[in-house]
Amino acid sequence: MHNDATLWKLIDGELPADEARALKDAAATDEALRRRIDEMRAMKDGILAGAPEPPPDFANRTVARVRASTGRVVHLETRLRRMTWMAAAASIFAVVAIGILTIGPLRAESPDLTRVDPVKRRLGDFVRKFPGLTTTQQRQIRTILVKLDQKKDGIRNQLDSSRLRQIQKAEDLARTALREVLSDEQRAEFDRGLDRK
Amino acid sequence: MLQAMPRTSQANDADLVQRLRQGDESAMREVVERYQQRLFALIYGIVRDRHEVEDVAQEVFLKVFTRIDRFNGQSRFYTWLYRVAANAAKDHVKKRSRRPSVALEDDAVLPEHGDGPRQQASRRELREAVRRAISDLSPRYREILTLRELQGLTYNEVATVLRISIGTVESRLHRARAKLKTRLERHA
Repeated sequence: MHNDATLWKLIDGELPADEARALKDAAATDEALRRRIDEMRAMKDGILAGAPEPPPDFANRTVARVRASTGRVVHLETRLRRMTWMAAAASIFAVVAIGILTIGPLRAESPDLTRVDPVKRRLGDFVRKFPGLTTTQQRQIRTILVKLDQKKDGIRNQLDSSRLRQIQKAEDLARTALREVLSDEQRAEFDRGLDRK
Repeated sequence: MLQAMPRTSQANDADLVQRLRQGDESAMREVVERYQQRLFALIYGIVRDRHEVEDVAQEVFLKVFTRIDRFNGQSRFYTWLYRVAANAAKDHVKKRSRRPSVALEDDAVLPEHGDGPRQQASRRELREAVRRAISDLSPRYREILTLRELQGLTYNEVATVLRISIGTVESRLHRARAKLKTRLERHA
């Protein structure tokens, strides 16, 4: 008895030559087998049956459509390429603009690096004068010194008044916090130190 | 009925591809004329609607000509073409399934073979039954059945078109035929 898979392989021409020959020989004498193979062949024929024929002008119409579409594709590609360049240029411009707009004010607000050293120096003076200062107190003194510097720079650079008020407020807060932990003598010395500059 | 394409003409495909890359319109016309019948059969095999075949076929040729640079030449041109066509047909079926359903069956004149009148009638009936039954199969099975019959593609070529192993081709083809047989018996 032959299974369907083997018979399909025979019909598909995928069966090894010797097996195919043996099967064909068997079909020559076996009516039932021959009928099965015939039915399978008819089934195969039915698979492609009913497919429409291409219309006579199909090739011409297809090529004409390709021609029209290709033109459009090229046009779109050119536009796309142009848009890509424009987008790239816009991105670079945006990055530069953001850089200018953000770094500029930041630099104006940040302590000038050339002035960090004087702050450190003066802070060192206080620490030496008041050896018992805690880390928090040292930090507060430093803040006051930085804010004083920023205030002077702000006035010199005509920084807008709201920004100056912010600096002043930060300085006042630091001074108040420091005064609360300093003795009267220390506080007087501290004020003198600040005014000395 | 489709005639098997002489293998010698396949040798010209490389030349055709070269000309297509240069935008040669006569090469496009040659490709369309050479493959239109097979593409119609393949697309019909999957789509099963005669009225939609032409549009899908034209889309396929359009795609092939505008994307010819994507054909890397590692497989035969026609396997690539069939793959593009099979994918386009399946996509079409998917899109259609989202739309309100339409009748897939339509009257077709079936070709006849040269046996005796009784055998001829019997064959014609069976082919007609197959044509009806195949519409009930899933596009995946319709695709593999059609590809196998198209120009007598070997299992190896079908595997190349579908990018699956030969073992998968054999098993899927076997399942498709078994399902088709079951449906034929049910119709009978």
